[in-house]
Amino acid sequence: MSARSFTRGKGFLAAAAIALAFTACKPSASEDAAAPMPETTVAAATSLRNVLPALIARYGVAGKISVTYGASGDLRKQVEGGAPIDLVLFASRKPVEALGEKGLTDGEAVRIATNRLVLIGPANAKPLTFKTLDTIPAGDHLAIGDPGAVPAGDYAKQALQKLGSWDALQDRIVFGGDVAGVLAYARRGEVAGAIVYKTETQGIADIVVLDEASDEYAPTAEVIGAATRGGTSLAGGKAFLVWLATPDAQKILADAGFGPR
Amino acid sequence: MNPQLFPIVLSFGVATAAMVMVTPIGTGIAWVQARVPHPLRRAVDVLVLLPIVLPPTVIGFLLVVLFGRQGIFGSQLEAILGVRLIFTPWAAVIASTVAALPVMVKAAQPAFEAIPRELEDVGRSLGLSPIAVFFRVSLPAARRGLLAGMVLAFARAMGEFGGTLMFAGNKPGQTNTMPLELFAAYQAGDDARAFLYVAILVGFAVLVAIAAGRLTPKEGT
Amino acid sequence: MSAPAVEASFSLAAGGFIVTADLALDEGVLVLFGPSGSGKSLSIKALAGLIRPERGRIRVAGTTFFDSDAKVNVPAHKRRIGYVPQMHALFPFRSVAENVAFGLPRRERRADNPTVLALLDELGLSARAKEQPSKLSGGERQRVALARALAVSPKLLLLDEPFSSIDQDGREALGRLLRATLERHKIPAVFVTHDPDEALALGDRLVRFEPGRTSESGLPATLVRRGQPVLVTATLDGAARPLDGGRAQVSLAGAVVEGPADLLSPHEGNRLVLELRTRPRNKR
Repeated sequence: MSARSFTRGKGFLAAAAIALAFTACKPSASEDAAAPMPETTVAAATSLRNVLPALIARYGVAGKISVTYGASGDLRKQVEGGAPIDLVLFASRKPVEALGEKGLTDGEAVRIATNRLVLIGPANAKPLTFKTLDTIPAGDHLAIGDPGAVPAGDYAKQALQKLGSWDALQDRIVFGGDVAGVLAYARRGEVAGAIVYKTETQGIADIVVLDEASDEYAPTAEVIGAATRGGTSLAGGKAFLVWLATPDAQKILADAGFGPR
Repeated sequence: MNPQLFPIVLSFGVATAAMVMVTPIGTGIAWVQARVPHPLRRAVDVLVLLPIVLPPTVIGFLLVVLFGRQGIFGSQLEAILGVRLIFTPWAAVIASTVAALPVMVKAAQPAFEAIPRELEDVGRSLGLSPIAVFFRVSLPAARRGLLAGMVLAFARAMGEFGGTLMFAGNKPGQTNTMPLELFAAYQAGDDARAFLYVAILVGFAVLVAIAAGRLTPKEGT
Repeated sequence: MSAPAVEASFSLAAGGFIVTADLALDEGVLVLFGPSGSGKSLSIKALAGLIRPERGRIRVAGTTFFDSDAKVNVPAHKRRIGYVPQMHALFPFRSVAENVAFGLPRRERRADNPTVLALLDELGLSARAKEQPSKLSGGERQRVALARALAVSPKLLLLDEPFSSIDQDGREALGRLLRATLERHKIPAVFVTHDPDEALALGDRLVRFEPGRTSESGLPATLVRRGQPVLVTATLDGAARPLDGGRAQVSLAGAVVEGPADLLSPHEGNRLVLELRTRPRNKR
């Protein structure tokens, strides 16, 4: 009857409310009991995608670390937008400083490694150097990262401007969304040449390194790290950043082709 | 040309070229599907629908794999005709055409199916050959649906991003359509520039939605 | 003596069933009469060339348009056979006059073409010449469809229940107009209907359709009453009294009436009313 079903309904609601209260209570209870460190989230430039897993493995049991990769410009926007990141590792100083200006970083920006620019081409590429880039025929292309978002692209632009060939190459330059994209253009043989980091070329079979950038025109490519607020584990981020400066970490970076801090 | 103006001009140019290509191809496919019984009808329906259903990155990937310099067709195009598509504005046109084609077919096919058979029968009885029936009876009778299809195809072509990014690439002053330029501005943190293109694209989308709504046949017409 | 308007004998398959038809017409109007779904519409579409029969022969005005043995099949647009369907006949994207001019060669295809104007006038449509079809009544639309078919001087006109969407009064007027127009233009016609009054009023010959086939053909008056004559035997009770308009009235005594059973079941209590009509025939 209606009275009975009403009571039954009320009873069901009460039971549900109690069950909900239990589930709400449980996690904090278990947290207090075991107390492991919360996960540390790192936002890392795409150029670090091959070396970070080794670094994290070596960092080992000290903490759990998850990584999100992307072009430094993209990642910067995500952090500004409130993504829960504890540590940023970007491929240049500018995006890190931009975060700092917005008060999103905690502590100093630290250089953890350097990198070099190289000019690569597909396996059957014609010889080409940084200084002879203007000889790329019309209709052929040079791929670099988008200077607005990809530090490697910004470095490449600076180098080409110093060499005086930036304006002349405008009709033959195509931008990649990140260094992996630029590398892919070269590996697929769709471009005559591409400018990437030396570290990108390790172990890749279907490209050849045509030339290495010289300090006389190429800026130093830096990998810069800074801890960021807004994540779940600032302490975890800071701890990992500190460890990256240690000899253990530096050896792994050197083996991967990065230059010294 | 002003670098800020170029993406706007390019986007409209690419979308127009895509619409020009999509209109006859889409109309033809829609006509065959609506009026010509053939065993592959289901298969063609599915094939035409694919670009709507697939992620744009898949379409971009396939375009590069097929039409890039090392691609199955691209390499032949370059070897035989000396034609290169990747990283050119034509690549953007092709990516947009592929994206817009299903939109055109999906608008045109019901428009043809809705034509009463009697109209076409009468046309033939008056001495019109099948081709004349198509041009003088079917096209005019379906014109509202076809026009709606063209408008929507144009809009879809304007909004093409993923396939364009992969196949045409981001070549400032050459292939950077508004969606690409918008994304680059976003990546570079240049929100003011991004908003310029957002405003244009949103305004344009509103116009398209109004136009398409006016053109789509009302109930009972 | 010119060739017969229609000589056709064919069978066609459509939507899972088969229609076998024997149609013949020397001149005038042939009515295809029968219930819905018996294959009448399909048969005239076969005559028009809009459907292809499986087997048989179709000759119109002496020309063979279809012959399955000789592998002849003239496409619809070359047959010069007019077609007026039941509905949706007019092109909605053209005015009335433009509709009528539609089948004319390009140079003559104008709203002020004399043939077009004459036909519009003949069918009482001159006032509507510039209007859009959606503004016309059902009867007006069918008149336009008729004018359009006639504008290209067809050898045969096919009409598929053209008046079925029009009210009763309009139908009779249209029927008269149709007959008069066909006679004036000397164009034979095949007319599909399931209405016996229409069949009687318009047909010179009638072919009866039963589901899937033609069964009898002959004169409408005889066939429309299911092929069985009504026989009245009676004693005249008094002389015939003349009435106006060439009609007369006579009383009968002891009448015995023989005919189809459903005609003879009494209406209104004990009264039996029989209506027998003959249609005036025009001999040429």
